[in-house]
This record gives sequence, C-alpha cells and structure tokens, in this order.
Amino acid sequence: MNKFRLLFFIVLSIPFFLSTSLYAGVDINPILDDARMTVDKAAAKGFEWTTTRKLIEDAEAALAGGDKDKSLKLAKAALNEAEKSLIQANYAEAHWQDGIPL
Amino acid sequence: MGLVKLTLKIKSGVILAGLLTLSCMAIADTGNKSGLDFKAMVQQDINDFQSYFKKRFSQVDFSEYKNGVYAIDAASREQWLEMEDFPPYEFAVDEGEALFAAPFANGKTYADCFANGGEGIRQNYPYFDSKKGEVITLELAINNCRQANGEKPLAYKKGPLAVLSAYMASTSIGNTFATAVPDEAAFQAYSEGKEFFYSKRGQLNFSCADCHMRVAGQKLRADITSPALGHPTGFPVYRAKWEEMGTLHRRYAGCNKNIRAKPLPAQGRAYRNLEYFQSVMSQGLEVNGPSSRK
Repeated sequence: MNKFRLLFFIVLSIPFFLSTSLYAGVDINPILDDARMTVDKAAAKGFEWTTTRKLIEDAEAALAGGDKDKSLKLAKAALNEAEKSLIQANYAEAHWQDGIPL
Repeated sequence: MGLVKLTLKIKSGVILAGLLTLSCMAIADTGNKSGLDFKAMVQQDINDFQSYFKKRFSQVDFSEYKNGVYAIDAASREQWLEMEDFPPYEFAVDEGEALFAAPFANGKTYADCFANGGEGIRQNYPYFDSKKGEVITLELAINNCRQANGEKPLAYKKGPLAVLSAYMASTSIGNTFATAVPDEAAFQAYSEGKEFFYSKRGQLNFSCADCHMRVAGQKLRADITSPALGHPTGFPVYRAKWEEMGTLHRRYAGCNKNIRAKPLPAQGRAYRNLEYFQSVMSQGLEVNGPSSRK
C-alpha cells in the first residue's frame, strides 16, 4: 500500500519538476519578434501604447540575464498588449463614428 | 413623321444639355469633384458640436468657452482670476516680443514672413494651404519662416517657439476664429482630425471626446476636464504643472500619455489635423492666448 502511495505522490509531483524545464524548452525569441512586429503595425497607425516596448525591453533583459521564466511572461504580456493595440487601431478605423456623442 | 422625330431629338438634346449644365453648376457650387457638399457637412458638424455644449452647460455663455475649464467650474475660475492679476505668461510675452523683433542673420525678421507684420493674425491659424496640401499651424509657420531665412527650426513644444507664439497670440486677443475648410483636400485633413478626435486609443481606451465631451466638467482624479469647445483659443499656455509655457501640441502629447497612448510627433500631420478640426469646431470664439492653466 505504501509503495502505491509513494508512486502516486511521485507521479503527482512530476509536473512541478517538469515546469521549469518546460519553460526552458520554449524559444522566446519568436514571441518577441511577433510582439515587435505587431507593435510596429500599431505604431504605424498611430495607436502604440506607452507600455508595450518597455515590456519587450524587460523581456529581452530577463532573457539576457538567463531568467527564462520571467522573460516568457513579459514577452507574452508584450505580445498581448501589442495585439490589443492593433485591434484597437483596426476597430477605430472602422467604427470611430460610434464615438461621437451627439 | 421625320420632322416629329427631329423635333423630339432636338428637345431631348436640349434637356440633356440642361441637365448637364445644372449638374456642373451643382459641382462648382460645392467646389468638389466627389459631389459631396462638404461645406454643408462641416457646418452641420459645427452646429452639432456647439449645440452639444450649449445643452450640456446651458448656463454658460458661448463666448466664455475661450477660457477652457474656467468657463464651467466656478471654483477653478476664482483661483484662475486671482492668478490673472499677475499673469504667469507675462514674461514669456515680453521674451517673445524681443525674439520676434530680433533680426535673422540675413537681416530680415519674422515680421517679413507674415501678413500685417505678424500682428493680430493668430486667429488665421491653422489654415489649409491648398498648394502644399497640408494644414499650416502658427508654430509651423514660424519655423517655416526661420528656415526660409536660413535659420534652424526651433523645438515645437516649449521654449523660444512657445514664447514667440505667445507674443503673436497676445497681439490678436479679441480677434475671432473663423477657420475655414475651403476645398476637398482641406475637408480630407479636417476629416482626419475629426477621426483622431473621436477614436479611442491608448491602454485606457479613451478618445479626446470621452474626456472633453462626455465627462467634461467632471473629475478625473483631482482634475476637472475642460470642454473641447474653445480648446485652441487660449494656447500657448503657462501651465502650473509645467512651470513654463507650452504649445497646444505639447498638451496633445500630455493627454495622449495620460491615457497611455504613445504621443505622436508635435507638428506632425496627425496633430496638425487635430488642431485644424478643433479650430473649426471653435469657430466664433475669440483668441484668448496666451493664458494660464492648472
């Protein structure tokens, strides 16, 4: 019975040990490239947010410092912001008249 | 029978020619190729825009909107009037006057670049230059003057350009804005400015209209938002926050930063078109710059 319990806890703990190595396997550079490209598109339309490039810079710094976990989180956040700003730009182009309070 | 056919042909020819003439006249009257009566559209925009504020702040006289937030908030107005006893922009006007009179290296001065020697002309800016196909603001015209006389352009947000603009505005106090949209290209610039004004941007997803129409007169944190009507009339301004003079485009950049939108270049196409739209909306108000703001 104890063997089964031990096996159960070992199996249960595998994801925790794996989590860091999973992040270690992710290539963050394509996410950063995507974030840079998307924020450039939003900027070209005049809709860049003030916070996005800072997130990219912080992600790059974390990556250079070897903190992949932090870098991945920041890169994802940057991409998320960049995508939202581009959606905002495209929405404004099509629906800006909806903002007229008259 | 042949005569009847000939008569019919002549009649239909005359009718067709008449219709063609009428449509040509209609196009000439509206002054555009697309057939849009943009002058009527702009006038409708002005009427709607000004009516919005008249309904929203029915106690406020139209002429008061040149005073920004001080037109609609009694407490702020009281403080502002006290400040106006010793206007903080007075030194800037003096400094601007000296700069305005100082000759360039070629011996010419700013007065040589402007109509009426640059006196009393603030209300004529911005205007749409149909030859260049772009909006010309006063600050851009000042730098164009410098460059035409072999001088380097000045920075657009503050410093010497702001004080020069302050001096020129001070000679125009009481003159009325009547910014026109003369042709289709001007209407395009006006429309771009209008689109900017009503587009939500930045991480906070706010438009100019959100703060300065919908919630004008209400508090955003500690500040009461000013009505958009009359925004350009008091610039350049001395802002307590800046502790110096600043141009309208400096304020635009500050507004954009507040909503976490990356500011666009001062005197770039977008901000100039925005100023153009705002000036058209403020038609009928007097020049009241330079002035002071919180």
